Amino acid sequence: MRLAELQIPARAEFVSLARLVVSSIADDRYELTDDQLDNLKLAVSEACVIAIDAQPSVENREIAIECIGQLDLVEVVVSSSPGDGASSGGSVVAAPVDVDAGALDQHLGIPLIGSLVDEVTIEQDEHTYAAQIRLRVRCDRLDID
Amino acid sequence: MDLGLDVSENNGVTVLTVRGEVDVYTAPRLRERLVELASEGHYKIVVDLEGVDFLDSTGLGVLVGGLKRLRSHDGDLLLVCTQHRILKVFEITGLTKVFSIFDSVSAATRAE
Repeated sequence: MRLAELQIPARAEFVSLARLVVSSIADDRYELTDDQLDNLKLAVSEACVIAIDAQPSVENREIAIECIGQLDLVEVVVSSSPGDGASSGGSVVAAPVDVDAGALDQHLGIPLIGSLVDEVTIEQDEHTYAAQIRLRVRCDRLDID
Repeated sequence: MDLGLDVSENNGVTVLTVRGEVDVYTAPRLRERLVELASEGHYKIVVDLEGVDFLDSTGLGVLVGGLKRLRSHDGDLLLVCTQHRILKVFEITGLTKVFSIFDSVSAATRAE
């Protein structure tokens, strides 16, 4: 069941809105611990940044955030615009962080996001750079329709 | 969304107190302030994160960049943080091995 769908400009100043909306909806509908909520907020934020960074630098781009509820899990899908002629591309696996690697100040979002939720998949089209990030958190639903 | 950045001195050490949310939008301001302080010759800086409500990987990247910059001048960037939700981000990324993190500003400013 779709709980919410949000489209925001692909700009940094709107990321806080996305995490606020998703965490509010999830908190309202599901039994989440404070830790799970904090993790979800952070994961949504990181996913939005990945989606924004995946976009070519074109004006008026948007990213879509969809919050989907199932009986025992909440799923958040963050997608950047597919662009023209989009097709499905490769997946990115969230690899462990190498603390000794030279570029610690870059690309921490992907390994971070992998530790915050129960499941995550990140896909990016290699031609259009359109990205889709799926986050899944297992939890009990509060209301049953 | 506001990010509060206040600079003070404690035990002769520069303290940068951060308040609010450090994310992809606000992190550049934190970076700017750290770069400014370094350019003014402040090579040992304590960053107080006790008033931070949210910190993402962009914020982490800024702190790592600040640490590198200060260490290149034989200085250091020390952190103050007791909040579980913020400490967790450092733990997950392994950055607790990189940063010295203290329970209080006084403890951080007294550290050698």
